[in-house]
Amino acid sequence: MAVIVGLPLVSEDAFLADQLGKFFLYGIFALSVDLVWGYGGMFTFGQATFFGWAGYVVGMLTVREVGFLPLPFWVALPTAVAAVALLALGLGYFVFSGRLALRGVYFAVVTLAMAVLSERLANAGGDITGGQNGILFGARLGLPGLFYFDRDYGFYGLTATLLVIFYLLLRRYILSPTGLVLRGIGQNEDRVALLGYDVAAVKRRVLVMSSAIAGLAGALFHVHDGIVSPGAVGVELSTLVLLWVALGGRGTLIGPVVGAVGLSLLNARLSGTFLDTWLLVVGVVLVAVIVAFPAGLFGFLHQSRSRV
Amino acid sequence: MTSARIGTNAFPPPVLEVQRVTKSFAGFTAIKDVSLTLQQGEMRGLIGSNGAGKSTLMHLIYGRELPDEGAIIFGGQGVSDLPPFQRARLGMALKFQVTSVFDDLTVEENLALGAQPKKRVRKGKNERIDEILGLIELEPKRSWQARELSHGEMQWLEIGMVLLTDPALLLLDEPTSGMTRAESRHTADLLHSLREQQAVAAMMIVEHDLEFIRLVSDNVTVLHRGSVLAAGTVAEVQGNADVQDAYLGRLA
Amino acid sequence: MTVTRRELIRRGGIAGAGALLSGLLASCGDDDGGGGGSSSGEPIKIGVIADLSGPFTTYGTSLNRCAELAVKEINDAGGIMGRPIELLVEDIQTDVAVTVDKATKLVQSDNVDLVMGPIGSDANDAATKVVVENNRKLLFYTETYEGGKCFDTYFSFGAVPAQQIRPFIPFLQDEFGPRVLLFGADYVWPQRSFEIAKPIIQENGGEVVSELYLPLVAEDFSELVQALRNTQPDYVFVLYPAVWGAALKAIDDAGLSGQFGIGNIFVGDPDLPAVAELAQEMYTTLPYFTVADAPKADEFLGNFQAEFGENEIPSGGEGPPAYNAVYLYKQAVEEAESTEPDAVAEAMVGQTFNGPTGPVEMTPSHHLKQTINLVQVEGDGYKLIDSFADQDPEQDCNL
Repeated sequence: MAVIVGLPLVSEDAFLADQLGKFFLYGIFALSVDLVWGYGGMFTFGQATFFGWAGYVVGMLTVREVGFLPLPFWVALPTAVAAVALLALGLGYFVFSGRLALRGVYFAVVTLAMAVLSERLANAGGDITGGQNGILFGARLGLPGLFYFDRDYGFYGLTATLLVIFYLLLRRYILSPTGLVLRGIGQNEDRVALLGYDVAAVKRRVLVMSSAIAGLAGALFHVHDGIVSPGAVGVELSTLVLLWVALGGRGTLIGPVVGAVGLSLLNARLSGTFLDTWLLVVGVVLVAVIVAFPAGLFGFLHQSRSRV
Repeated sequence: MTSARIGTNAFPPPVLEVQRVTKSFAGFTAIKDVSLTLQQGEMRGLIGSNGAGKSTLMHLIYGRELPDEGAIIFGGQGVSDLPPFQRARLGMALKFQVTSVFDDLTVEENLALGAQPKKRVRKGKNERIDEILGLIELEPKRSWQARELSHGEMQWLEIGMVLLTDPALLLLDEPTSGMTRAESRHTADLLHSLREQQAVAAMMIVEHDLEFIRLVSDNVTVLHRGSVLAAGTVAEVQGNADVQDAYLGRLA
Repeated sequence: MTVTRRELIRRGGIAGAGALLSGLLASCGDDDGGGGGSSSGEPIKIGVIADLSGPFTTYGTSLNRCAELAVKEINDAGGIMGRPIELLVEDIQTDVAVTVDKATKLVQSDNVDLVMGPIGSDANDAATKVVVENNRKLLFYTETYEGGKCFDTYFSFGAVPAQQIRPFIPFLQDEFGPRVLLFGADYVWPQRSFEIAKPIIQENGGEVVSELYLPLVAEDFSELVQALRNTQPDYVFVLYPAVWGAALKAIDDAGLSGQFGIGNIFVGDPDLPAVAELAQEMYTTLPYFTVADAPKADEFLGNFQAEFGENEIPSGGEGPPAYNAVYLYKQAVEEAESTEPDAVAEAMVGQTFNGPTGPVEMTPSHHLKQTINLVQVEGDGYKLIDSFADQDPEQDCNL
């Protein structure tokens, strides 16, 4: 963790710091998926909808000039996070209520539909969502004249701090009694229910938590980029984050972070170096990793430490 | 929402009443007009050939299925509408037919999930875990991952887990499947000692191993094609002509 | 404690991954820091952000190749002020987030003097923000688009709606009649284009009988068929770039083919084969076609095919404009005697060039005045009908 976070401080490259900052936000995004899928067993195709819609809400609240809008950023950000948390809550009630436990496949399908629908909605949103072009952000984050948080080293510092904080918080959560229940649910939901736990309620709660985390990361990501467009809420990004988590090792927290930052870095560097063949190279690398580490790079963390 | 917790001593018998329940699936009647009553301190065996409806009856009791007709009464309280987790909170415990422990968690963590209070006081959680570890004889393996245990050990782990929920009714679905003779006998001893200590109010055991049923049951209910064919002590049931017909002497 | 072979492999793998990661991170340390452009004596760096993978691959590739061709020719002739041009190409994967990333890299890390591209309007918004607004560097956009951008260091070389539409409407009206149905994909380029078209239609005494939008990639065209049946227009003016072939098929299935004329502003040479069969006698206006009659057109096509393959055709919406753009840049730099963005921007205005699309001129609005060609589908190709020189982009931009 220290290595990942500390590196750009050594080289004096502002662009690298800026780029890594984005990748750290991707790392937080990956953590949110590890929480809900890696530990909770809820395979989701729609995590990007939380990541992207938060960006959209911040955009809509800070750029549009209608009624009481625009709002300042420090109001828009928590609103955006609350908005996606609400969306997650709705999703949770829709999928996890009722007597018949809606199985994992069903949840995956519903989240897939959510992602597809979101992209369509964003595209067709006309003046509200900016349609295919999306929304362009104006405001800058920070103290004017003094220090900015939305670019280069300031951004890097902010995102690195957030990544470490979320990592530690989630680690604490996983090791807590509630975290234990979640881990149990991820492995054997029925057994957990028959021990007297309201599994649906736990899953809902975790889903909301994970959406809020993804939303925060997404809002900051898009403020940094200055633009949010329909691709931000779609299936592509949702699938990509699953890849990061799987490759890094689901249910390990550190694995998904390494997966997210590493793969993003790989993509960025390779596509510049091997212009015509980078897709192929990335593909080869992915296959090699999966073959060598079927449970992900950090999958060995799941092995028992008892016999050593 | 939560009703009074059903303890092991202080509520009026019977522990469980299944009242004339019927359940059909797409035209096929799996359980027809089945009734049984479990009294305090009773250990009841449930036997029958495959397809007799044992699984369905269990599902109806713990809530995985809802009856089309009839009612399930637990400790004097109607639970026919309640989902499984709420029945568990009221004091029902189930050891699944397919042994269900948490493979990736340690033995201790498995037990902790059973011991973690839902709505009760956390008194002596660790002591209770230690106690159960002793009972199921897995103390030296407490840090092992559950997947590393033998099949028999896993089953005891599951029993230990559900015991930590302080249940009134213990439902065991084929608790000795895949066990050796020695392990089965050990399990029978375990169940008996639970009764002696009044750790649970009543038990119901579904089994194919008739030797084991003989060891652990006061009474036995025989299901055949969705209905109760016979009920009574092991000896009575064994001598029942209908039962003999149905099983072509397999009970002997 | 014994370490199993598996453990060793795992640990070695982690170490390897760590080394790889460090290597990747270090590899960018080679670039010079800071934000200035290149200095004299060094190559002039032009960054290209093009879609070389994803749905826009054909257009991105076309842009890239035409830029390459122009750069090669200029370098062979001695470069700009004696300095060679270095082309840095980045694949933006038809993805806005990647566009932001690559554009930032080019201007901050690679210190290019000019960025060319991208293709999509959304990517254009992103690139403009990064290159022009955040870093005050030059961005040359070479794709057909809806217009409207107005920045000091932003220049557009593709066609904008007014250019393609103003000469087109009177022609279509003469050909078919005054009643027109507007059909477009549901996003900003068609919407804005129709906004511009409507007053032009009115000025010419025409009448818009219906205005219909469908999703960019629709599967159900019954609404379109319905509208055609109900309003029975003289011609259809269409801006539906992704699956126009499918729409034509739906029209044909409904037995409506040939009952009205069709005019469009997006079907370039490479796009034609997919729709030719059902689009006979359709009219198109764009700056570049292989059948267009510009003096340098044949030479350009010859060189292009010599370089990239006998049967390769550049996509007219963004390729030849990119070729023009590079040459215009060269001229502006030479006039300003500098690669400094503001100086070059000032020198760009008024530059003229005679290239594959005919004579072009950069107007003060930072959009290109150019020739628009009108062609008609005949068989499986186009035949040239008319040519409209000096079409003004009509942009409301005073810099």
